[in-house]
Amino acid sequence: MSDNYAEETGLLFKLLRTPAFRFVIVSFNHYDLIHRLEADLCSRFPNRAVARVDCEKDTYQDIRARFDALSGGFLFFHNFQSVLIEQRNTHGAETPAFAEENLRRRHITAGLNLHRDYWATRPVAFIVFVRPDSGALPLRIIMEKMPDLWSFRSLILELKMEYREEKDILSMSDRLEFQTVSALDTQQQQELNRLLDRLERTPQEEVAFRLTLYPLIVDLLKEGGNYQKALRIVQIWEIELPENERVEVWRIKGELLLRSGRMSDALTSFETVARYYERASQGDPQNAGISNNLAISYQLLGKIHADLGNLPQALAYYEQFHQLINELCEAYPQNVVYKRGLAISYQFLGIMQADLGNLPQALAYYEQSYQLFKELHEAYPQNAEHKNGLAISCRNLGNTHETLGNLPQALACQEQSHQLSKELYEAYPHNAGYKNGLAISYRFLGKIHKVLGDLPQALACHEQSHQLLAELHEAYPQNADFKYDMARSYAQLGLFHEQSMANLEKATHFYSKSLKILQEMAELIPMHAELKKWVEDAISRTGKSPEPA
Amino acid sequence: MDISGESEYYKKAIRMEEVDNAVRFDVPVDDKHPFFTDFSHLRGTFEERVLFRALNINPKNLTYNRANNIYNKSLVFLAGMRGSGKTTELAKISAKLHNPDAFFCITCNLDTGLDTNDMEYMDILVFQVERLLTELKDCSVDADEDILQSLENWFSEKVTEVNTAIKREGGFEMEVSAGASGLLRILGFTSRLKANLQGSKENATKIRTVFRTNFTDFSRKLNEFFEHVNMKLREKHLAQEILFIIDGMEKVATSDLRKKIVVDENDRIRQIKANTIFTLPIELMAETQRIAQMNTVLAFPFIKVREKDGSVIQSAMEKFREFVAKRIDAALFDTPETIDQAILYSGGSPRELLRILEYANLHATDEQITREALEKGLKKMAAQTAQYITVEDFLKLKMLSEDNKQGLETAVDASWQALIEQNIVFEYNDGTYKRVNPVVELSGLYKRYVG
Repeated sequence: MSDNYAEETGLLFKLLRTPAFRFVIVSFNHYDLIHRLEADLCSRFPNRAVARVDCEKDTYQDIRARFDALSGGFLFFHNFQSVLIEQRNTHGAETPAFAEENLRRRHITAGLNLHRDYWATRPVAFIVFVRPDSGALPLRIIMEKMPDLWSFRSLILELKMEYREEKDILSMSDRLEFQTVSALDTQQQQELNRLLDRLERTPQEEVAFRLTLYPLIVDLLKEGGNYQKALRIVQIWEIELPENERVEVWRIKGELLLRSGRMSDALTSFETVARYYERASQGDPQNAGISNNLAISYQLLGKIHADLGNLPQALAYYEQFHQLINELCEAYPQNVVYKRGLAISYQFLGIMQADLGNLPQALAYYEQSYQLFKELHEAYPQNAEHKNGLAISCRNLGNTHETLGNLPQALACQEQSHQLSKELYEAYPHNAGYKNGLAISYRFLGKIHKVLGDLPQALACHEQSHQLLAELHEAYPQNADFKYDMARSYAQLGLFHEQSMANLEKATHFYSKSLKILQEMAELIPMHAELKKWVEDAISRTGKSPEPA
Repeated sequence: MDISGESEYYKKAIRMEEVDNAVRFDVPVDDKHPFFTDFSHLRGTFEERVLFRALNINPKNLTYNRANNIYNKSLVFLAGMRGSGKTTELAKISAKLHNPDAFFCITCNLDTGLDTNDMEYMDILVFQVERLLTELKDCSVDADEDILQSLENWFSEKVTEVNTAIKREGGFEMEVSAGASGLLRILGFTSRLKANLQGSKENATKIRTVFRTNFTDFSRKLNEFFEHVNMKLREKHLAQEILFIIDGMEKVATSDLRKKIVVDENDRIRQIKANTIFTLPIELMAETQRIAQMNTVLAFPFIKVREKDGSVIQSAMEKFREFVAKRIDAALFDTPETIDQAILYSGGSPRELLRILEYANLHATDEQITREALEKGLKKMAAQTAQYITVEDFLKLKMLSEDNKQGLETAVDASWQALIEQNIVFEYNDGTYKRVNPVVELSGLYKRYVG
């Protein structure tokens, strides 16, 4: 990977030869660069003392105390970008907690600026690290907030390295996260039987009553993972409706097809739904209900195109989804459904940007989503959907921080996500969506532990994840997502044993299991085909033959 | 049909001491009551047949065309100013439509059935179910056992979920066992739910959270039940379908709360497949129209007693004279002109007219309500109302008054909402004609700022 490190730091090292007060601003696009800079400064100037402040946590008094303890040397300011912006909730209001936090931030910027002459009395170099998130102009804000200190600036470094988030087929975004599936208990099974019996007994002419039965039946069949039967009922339901009343049925049909892994049929269904709402919206552009339905149909189209590997198309749909839902939120700021929709739209935009390699932009979207879900979760702590949304936001934030090299932050995010997922699973043990969420959280936790070098912990996490996924796959054999997740989990374990434990035999065993599932899958969409190829390559890498099916 | 249970105590005042009771404006009367006055055909664009059409009722024979509503039920919002007579009109309509060829009408008065200071759509829905079950029980209509069992299972499950949340915080749990048979089992659940929704705020929040989270499921269960009841009603030749009349929305404590129910929860309202009429505070009319294409919003304006040019509308005056005569004996007024004066100052609001008569009565002698007493009453009312109007609002009233003089329509934005809500500005027709409450015009403050 190429970078401008040598070119940019040359001047800095020269400048620092003479001990004096310095105010150096270092903008960077990857945490590896600042870790390298810190290490280089310590090795080039071994006699100089070093102190650090974390601007996300420390107060002005902490900064002052650390400075006072130094007679000379370096004072590193980490996460300085965080003190440059004021926190507001999504309505632009400053909550009491934000007011307190903003005060801490203001104290830092004002204090640093006000005591410029005091800092300059000692040969301490202030090295300020600023991560420029997309859209923000940190240097301009420093200039405005700290004009006196700015006038003392010695050097501005812009450290950049080329990085690309390696398309990690084993960590690609998960598909069922905002949906829920539950195993049918005895009572639900009885209810399903009752409804099917009712449907059979109800004469054809009692259309209105029959129409109330279909959604109840399809819901239970879907929850129980019986997508084939659900699709058969949907077919009858569709026939009983006139053309102009069928849109909801098309949407449900699309979801069932999606879950069955019949992607191209699902795409056709969702496209029909979107065209219907586009026409309706043209006829009544101010209508919030139609706009919301149109937004949801764009979301589904975005998702399916992403799964099919059509990223530009997926991004275009997600952007349309975001724009519509954002307009609804502005028009109805108290509406919780729209607010949640907006939070989800930021998630999808973040995933898209991450897939396109634009991590600062992805991070900015994930942070917006996190903020919205945090507000929703705080306002409705009992609401499981908001909690789940928050868990997903934390997970995506953590994953992006990991790619950017900010490992402590990544670990903190994954731990928070895991805790939330665990609470959800404990509260709703029959909900397969939350069980799947917990499995995913174990996987990401395992991933970060591996990066941090804690292999036993990483393996334990991957095994926990695998166990949960195996149970899900067994309970819902028709669910294409769970099937794919199972294949991926085997591949993950194989990779772990291959790379971290050097146990090629065990690795081949897991790879073979993964391959077997992938060979069984009904329709291989690009994502599945990619994983299949990856597993085949992995097996040939081990030099062993795959185990017989 | 006796709406209030108190209507029988209302009778025409033939002595001065009876006037107080005869002008009470807080209790609605139905079309059978001697006080009932039919203001049909005097409400600008509102006509009964328009409402009937929205409900798929043939206005000639009052029969319901069920075939038209198989796939979607009628959802009608009747928007009118406070005191415009919506409740009375709806009572009349309900009486007409409650028949085997049309509807099984269930009126839900929010102000008597629920806590208007703390309410969500979920509470209204639970109340609707409770009212329906009560009426079905009275008419000996029962539902099939499997449907009831399914509903009972669903409610039990949700109550358990609510109790788990309550238990976590050491609160008082709700009872789960229904302990009755037939419809009464479900009635037991809904009554307890409603009681808890009106109880502690903490428990109400937990109940609402659970029901809101499971709303799609809840609505589907209810839809099955409502449609099953429709079949039973037809079997028993009682009605073709259920019609809910949800009245009293404007009595919900704050405009935010009202907006939350009608606008923010519109998607949920639409998920319920039952014919429903909601009364709507006038300020939410435009927004309700905008939020969903399928909403039918009808304006229920005040009765115009004057044209824009100030000329008196005699047909409206006649009806209001009849309205007064049904409540107060003409001999209790010094002259018929005093009555006319009171009517003109009411601005076409029946409730405002009753308030004016009440104030006049307060200032009256023991023998009669005189012109002098009326004027004193009006002044008092004017002063009391005007003291809450801000200078900024007076400037708006000035603009409105000047526009009206020139025959121009005044553009209003959200900042006018409070003025309309508080009956300081009256709306006529479908909201296109507005004028200042004539009583307010009498106040010193109005004269000072508007002239």
